[in-house]
Amino acid sequence: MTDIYLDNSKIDFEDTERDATVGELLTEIDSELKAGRRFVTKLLIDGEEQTDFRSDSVTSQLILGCKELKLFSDTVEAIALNGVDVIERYLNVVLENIDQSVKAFRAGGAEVGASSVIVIDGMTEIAKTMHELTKGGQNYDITVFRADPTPYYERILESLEALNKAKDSMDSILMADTLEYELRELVVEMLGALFTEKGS
Amino acid sequence: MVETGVNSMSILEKNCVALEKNNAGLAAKLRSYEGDGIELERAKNGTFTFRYDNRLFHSSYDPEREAAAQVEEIIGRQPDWVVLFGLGCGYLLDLLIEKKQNKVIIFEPCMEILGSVLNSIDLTDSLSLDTVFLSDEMEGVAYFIRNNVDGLEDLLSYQTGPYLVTFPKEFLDFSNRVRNAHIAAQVAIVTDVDSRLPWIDNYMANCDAFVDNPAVDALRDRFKDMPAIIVGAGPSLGKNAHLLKEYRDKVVIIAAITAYKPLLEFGVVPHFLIAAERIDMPEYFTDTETDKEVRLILAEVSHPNLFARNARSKFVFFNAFISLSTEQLSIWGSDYFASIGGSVTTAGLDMGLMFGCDPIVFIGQDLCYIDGKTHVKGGVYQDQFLTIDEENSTVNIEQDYITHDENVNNEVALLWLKGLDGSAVPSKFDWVTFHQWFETYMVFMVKEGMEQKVINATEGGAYIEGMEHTTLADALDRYATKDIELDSIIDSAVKERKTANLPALIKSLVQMRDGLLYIKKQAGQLQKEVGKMKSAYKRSGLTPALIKNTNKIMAREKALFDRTAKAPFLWEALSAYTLELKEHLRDDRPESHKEQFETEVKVIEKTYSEIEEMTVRLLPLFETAIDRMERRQASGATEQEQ
Repeated sequence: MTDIYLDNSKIDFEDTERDATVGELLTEIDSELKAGRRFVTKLLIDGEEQTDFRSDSVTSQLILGCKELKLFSDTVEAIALNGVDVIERYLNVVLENIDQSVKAFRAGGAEVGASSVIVIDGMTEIAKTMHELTKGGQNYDITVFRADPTPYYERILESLEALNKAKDSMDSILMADTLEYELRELVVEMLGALFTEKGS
Repeated sequence: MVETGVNSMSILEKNCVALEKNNAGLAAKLRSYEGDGIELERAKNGTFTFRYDNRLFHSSYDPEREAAAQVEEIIGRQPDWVVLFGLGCGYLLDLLIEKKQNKVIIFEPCMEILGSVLNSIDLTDSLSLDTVFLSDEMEGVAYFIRNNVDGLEDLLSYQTGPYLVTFPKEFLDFSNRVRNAHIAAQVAIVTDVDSRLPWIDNYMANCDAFVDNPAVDALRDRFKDMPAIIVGAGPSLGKNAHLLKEYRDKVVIIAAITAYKPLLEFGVVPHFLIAAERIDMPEYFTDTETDKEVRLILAEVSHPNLFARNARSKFVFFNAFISLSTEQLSIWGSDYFASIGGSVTTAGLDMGLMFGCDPIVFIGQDLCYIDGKTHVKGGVYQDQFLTIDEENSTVNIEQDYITHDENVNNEVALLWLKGLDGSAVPSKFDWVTFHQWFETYMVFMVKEGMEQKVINATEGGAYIEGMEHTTLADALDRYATKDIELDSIIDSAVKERKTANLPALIKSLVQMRDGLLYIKKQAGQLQKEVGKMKSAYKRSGLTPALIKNTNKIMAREKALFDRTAKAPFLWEALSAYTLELKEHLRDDRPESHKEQFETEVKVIEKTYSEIEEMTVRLLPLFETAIDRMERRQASGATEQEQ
């Protein structure tokens, strides 16, 4: 018999056929929570946190195979705030990566390719997450960012395209210029425009 | 206002004038350059940048800021010399100079870039410095390093991304050459210090031989337009040496001593053998009647037993790096210094050209490991086992040497050269040094307008830029067409040779002996001063008076160096022993005053004790030589009287 908890309270879940999966449990709980503008945000299986708990490898597991399942939920607002916070922090990390990459490109270092991939992947991920957050916020009528991020998507894309093009022609100086004078400025602008000023 | 002089010059001309001092060849090339150029663009801050091969070479926003970051990285590593692969628009060079990093060597692989940049950007302030060298030739850079960079100095190679990506092959080749040139300079220091005293021993012991045997320049221009074959003992000698047998009367065969026995195995008796071994190596000879058929060309610093060998005749050659020779060359009746690239085959090239030979054809000059071997079979190496470790850049060589009971094992650094087919071939530092010397020599021949041909007919091994590469069969077919009356040519040359000037020789030796006596006395007094300082330090520690006392030592050192500087031999003898002192002075490890004082006292004491020992060792050599020469002079005078 599997013990199941939601936000530290034990709950009942019927599994008469003994074939229910973790995914089915999540779907059912999410649907119950939806009315209260909440979602499951964390899952522990037998005490171990599942970092990517909505992935197939986790959701396909049989509940019967677990001794204990602990689920935690949060409000849509809290989720959105958390998402925004993550993006803001990640943008600062991107800034650091840009500086490092620029330094390497200018110096003609051998790790040029690797460091640029980190920045390109990071910005792509940020743009995707921002888009999803904005869309999710709209569904629940929440203003996620201080300003509309949509105009930035195109500029991010343009910079990333320029970076990829420079990368393909192995033009390290153009990559450094694009990173330092275009993408970096864009990130700084986004940080100033989209996020609530700290301490205010 | 009418502009005159420098002001009215074009930017290119100004740059060329600045370049002339260090690289007149490049200045001339730039003035007459009519090839393609590149288009310089303005960066957003108004300075220049450019694209080549569809790549930006400087920032299109702020190239100076970009260079500042690069300079910061370079300066942080505190190199003595910076070697730049690529000039670009010269931002890096100018900033390095601004930051007092004045020793800069630049190689620009692309003439299009160089021409356009120097046409538009004034780099005269940097280019006019003695310690800034710009070249479009790799060999020029290697030559500059060999001649201007002390082996003790640090050398930092630096290149920006665009140059690295656009010129990868050139960069690899360049890096190898710079590394090889620097290693050569470092090795030269070690060889110099290790060899100096044995060379002096041999020179002094060989004085009689210099009187008895002609200098090699007695053969100057005696073999005009006759082909010379210079034979090295590389593994490829086995491929073609046999061909020489039927051409022996149509060529002048000059062999390295190491190639002598292998050549005999192919039925070829060389006309000349060149040797410069400072230790006795009888294993190179056969001790048969054949030895009496060859003529020896021996360096003045060769072991005396080489001069004592029973050969058909002997010639002496003198070296400019032996200061005894520079002081006494004319006294011996010679006015020729062999240009030595560290090997007897490199010296052979210079001699062959001096003899007037044309063409000079090399065989057995592999300069690299071939099929796990360093030398051709039949020489002093009975067998060899090589292990090349590319990961750690080392080569382990186990050799069965003819006179050793057990195999000799040693490990050397693995270096690379360009092979005949363009791919890299494994080599080691001494071969690399010879290779660099050959390539420099080829450039020199072109510059000097020397028309003699130099052919590399090794048929394997390293490619030597500037030489024609072909097979020995082809070279012989084309040039070995007439019989040479070698014996009669040599006989008449020897008859007409200049002889030694004994009175001048004795005077010179006496002056050197007196100089050594002076050094001995000063070195002894310096040690006494240091002894006193040590006692005072023990008694009362490091006092201001004691620190002041070091001035006395410095004054005495100055007197010693001033006196010896006037006589090359004495200067050389002294400087060989002050190496540790120089190294100490270069060492900028932070030390307390006490530590510094203690180290200084220790180094000075050791240095001058060694110098005194050196004089004690050399003085008897001079006394004996003076005595012998005086007796020869006396007997000569007696003979004349009779």
